[in-house]
Amino acid sequence: MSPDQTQALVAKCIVDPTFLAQVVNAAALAERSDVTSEFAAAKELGAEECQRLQQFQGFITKVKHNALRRVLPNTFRLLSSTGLELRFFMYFAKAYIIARQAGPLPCAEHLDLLGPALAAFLGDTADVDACTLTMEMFEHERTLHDLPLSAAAAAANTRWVAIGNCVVVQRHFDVVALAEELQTGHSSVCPRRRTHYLLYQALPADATTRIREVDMPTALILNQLLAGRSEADIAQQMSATIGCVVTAEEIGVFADEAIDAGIIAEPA
Amino acid sequence: MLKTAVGIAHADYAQGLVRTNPGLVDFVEIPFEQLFRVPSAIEIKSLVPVVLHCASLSMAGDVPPDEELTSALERWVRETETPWLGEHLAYVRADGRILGGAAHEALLDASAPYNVGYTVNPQYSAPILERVVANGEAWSQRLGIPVLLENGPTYFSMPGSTMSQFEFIQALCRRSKGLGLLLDLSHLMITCANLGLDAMEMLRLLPLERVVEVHVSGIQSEGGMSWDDHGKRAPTNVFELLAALRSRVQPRAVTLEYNWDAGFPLDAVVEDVSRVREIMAPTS
Repeated sequence: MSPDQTQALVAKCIVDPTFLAQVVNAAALAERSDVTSEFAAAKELGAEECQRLQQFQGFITKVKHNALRRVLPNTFRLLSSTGLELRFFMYFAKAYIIARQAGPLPCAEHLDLLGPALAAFLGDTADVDACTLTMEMFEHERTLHDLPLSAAAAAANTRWVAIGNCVVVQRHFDVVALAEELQTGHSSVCPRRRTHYLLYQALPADATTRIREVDMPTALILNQLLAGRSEADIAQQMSATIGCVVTAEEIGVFADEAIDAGIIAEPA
Repeated sequence: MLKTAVGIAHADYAQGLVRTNPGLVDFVEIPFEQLFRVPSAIEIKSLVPVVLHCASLSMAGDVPPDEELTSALERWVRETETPWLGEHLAYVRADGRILGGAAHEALLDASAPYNVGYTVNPQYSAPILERVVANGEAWSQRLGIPVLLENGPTYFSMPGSTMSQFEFIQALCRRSKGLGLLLDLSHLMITCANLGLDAMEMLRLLPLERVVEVHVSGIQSEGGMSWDDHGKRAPTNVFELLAALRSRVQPRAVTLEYNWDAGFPLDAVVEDVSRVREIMAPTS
């Protein structure tokens, strides 16, 4: 091959993950007489270099995600600190390159593509704790990004409306503390396993998202208040789900407290 | 007395950092591609001088940039008043429609020419050397400023190479008296780590008197290899390389490339700028 043909072959391998995967497979097989393009490429590049090209393809994919670090800084830092970053981007390269063929992906579309891929990759390669931790960090950062942008919760036919967009989520790791630790540039982090509930509340007035930890009953009641259920419905649900005996009047008192705390409001 | 200017690569935090720390850095290096997409990035020039960097010229490739890109580059060279243009010793695009002599015609298909969108180390061979020299000198003449060529990190071996990257750079400097070097010490460290070479020894082999600018950034180890990582601080051995370089020459500029993570810790940037200044301080 001429220098330009060799450089073109390497470029083709990098921009075409399907072809490169076929070349890697061909390189792993014994020499064959039926000359296909994959075997010809494998012969030119050699098995070891083919695998290195796959790593390089993953690395380029990683670099092209630098802009997304603004949304998911700690998810990426966590992946890096656990030594899974490059492997993930090798895994994700094909889906990303195909999705990006028509041009750069809008942020939401990019996150929709990346989230399930990350979950699938971690499910196959990481232990349960590492998988849970990383996905909770992803969901935490995605919530912080999406909540202020999403449409305000529908207020029609509900007794209560959220002040700003709210969501209550169960976490198994202390992602808030871990995010602070990662932001300071610590290379070795110590995630704390702790089941708890976080209330995220996007406050349009000052363009911030407030995060508050709440206990489990509060989380359950808040979720139902935010869904517009009546006090009687909520009391019944609490009894059915966690065996908590609470009256409709007590739920009403709780709702007043939530109003005082600036989480919900009575519709005007 | 000569003094080495110390700067940072442009990042989301750069403008705020420069504004709140006057005198911290002597310049900010901005990628031409960023100015092409987001012209407002030039606003930082009101605070600090700008040096232009580029990754689009595909110096070692057979597909030159199109006229739109070229015109924009000329414009930004003028507007930034950059003293030089740093460009990668690499190719970005390749015209795969060249069939003659290919082992299999299906290797080269309708999706060619290929645009990798990232700099790829070229084949280190005599024909590519001639092309890089010719392109480098032509761009320097066209833009009216020196062009510096930057060594890339080695992650794989390009088939058909007849010399090492170090021999290629030596030959390049012998062949062209006009082209300067942008020596990326982290790339040098990565290349040596991945090829099992001694970085200090390789540094001694390079024509350091041709180095105009130096890049410093982080390194990540993963998958049994070292990788470029502008989201991490430079490791100690990269600063040791910088000190070794300084013991022989005094380049005009050193740029800290901490520009992949918008939330890069600012105290780390400030600390490492000071560290670079100490290393590069002129000797009496």
